Amino acid sequence: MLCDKYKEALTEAAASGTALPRSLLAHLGACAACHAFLATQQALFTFVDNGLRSRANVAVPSKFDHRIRAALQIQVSPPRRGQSRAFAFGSIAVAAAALLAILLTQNLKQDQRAMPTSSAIKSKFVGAEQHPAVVSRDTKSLGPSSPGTPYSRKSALMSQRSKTPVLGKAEVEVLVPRGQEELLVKYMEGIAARRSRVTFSANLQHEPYMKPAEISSIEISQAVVRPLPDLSSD
Amino acid sequence: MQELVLIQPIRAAEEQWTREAAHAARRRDFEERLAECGPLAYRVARGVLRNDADAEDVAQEALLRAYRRFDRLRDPQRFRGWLVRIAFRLALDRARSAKRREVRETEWAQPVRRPASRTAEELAASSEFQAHFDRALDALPEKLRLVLLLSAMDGYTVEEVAAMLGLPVGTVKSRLFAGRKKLAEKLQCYVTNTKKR
Repeated sequence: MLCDKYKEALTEAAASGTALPRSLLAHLGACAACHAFLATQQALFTFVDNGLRSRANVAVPSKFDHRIRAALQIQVSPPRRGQSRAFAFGSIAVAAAALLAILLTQNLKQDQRAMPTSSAIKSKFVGAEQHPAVVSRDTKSLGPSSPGTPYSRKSALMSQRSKTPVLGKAEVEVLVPRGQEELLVKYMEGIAARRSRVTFSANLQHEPYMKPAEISSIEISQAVVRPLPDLSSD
Repeated sequence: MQELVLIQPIRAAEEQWTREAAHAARRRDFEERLAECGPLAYRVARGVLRNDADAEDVAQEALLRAYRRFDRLRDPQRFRGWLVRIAFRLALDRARSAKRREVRETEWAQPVRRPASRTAEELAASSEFQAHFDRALDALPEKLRLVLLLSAMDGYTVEEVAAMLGLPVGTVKSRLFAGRKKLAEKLQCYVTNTKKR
């Protein structure tokens, strides 16, 4: 019969695998029941440990790491999705802006052929009040530039294929805040050299009486413009 | 007429590049941890679910969650424990909700009968023992189960498990002891019967 007072000590000894106290060893020598109980407990804990080890140390599938990295790659895209969501508000506008910038670039390239330095290009920027003739009828109808308007202007050739109602004329004018002409020129040069991107944004706050209907189809929240491959060929 | 205003493209580009650089650095940092922590997450999930495909799904989900929240982790040293807890929690949720589990439990109720094994190692390797053992382990409280699984993994000491889980070493040891003891009690009848056969 098992001696109850040794039961807990025997179980703990089997669980921990530590050496038995001398008094317990002496008892085990004399008590067959306790000796058998200890052997059973030791076997049990061996079972338990083996079972735990076999369950905890399974082989990881060989392609697991690859799959995780692939999933991670997909996970990386959300910022781009968020970014593209901003663009999604005006996909047509982006296309229009891209066209506009390309036309600008072409025009600048023509200017560069004639006057390759940026200072020469800069000289093309003039105050609106100095060249009222370049202000188109459409421009006037949207809200005429008051005398001393803070914008200078740059003319660019426009494709005849443009279907945008506002741009449906022979020339398109891009207004640039005074003082930023050189910045624009540098960026156009950057585009020509394929070194940079240019971001344009429609900003109508300073012209509150501009009719939204006129620009609804090409309203631009943000646009990243990249040069066409053939632009740098010449 | 469309009016276009150039809005400091240099700054915008710089901000975008900074964001992209930070994102790339975060990903590099995470991928460095992936080599070690990926298998750990898988084993934790596998230890709970006992199914390779489910474990892989859960480990992947845990890693992706960890990646999404990687910025919120203030102490990078706690990444392992954090990931382990995510994987363990997800695996428990999956185990509770999966219908496949019911099928497996049906299978466990009728374990394959094999000749009685002689040694403890052979017995532990038998599917019958595994079925009894799995049920006994699943019946343990979660906190004991996680400690048992992590402590049984090769390469992790009790101290490392304690650091991983943010527990005192003594707590881990006592949970380890209590868990093994409960498992032993639940398996005692089985082992006794096997030995009698």
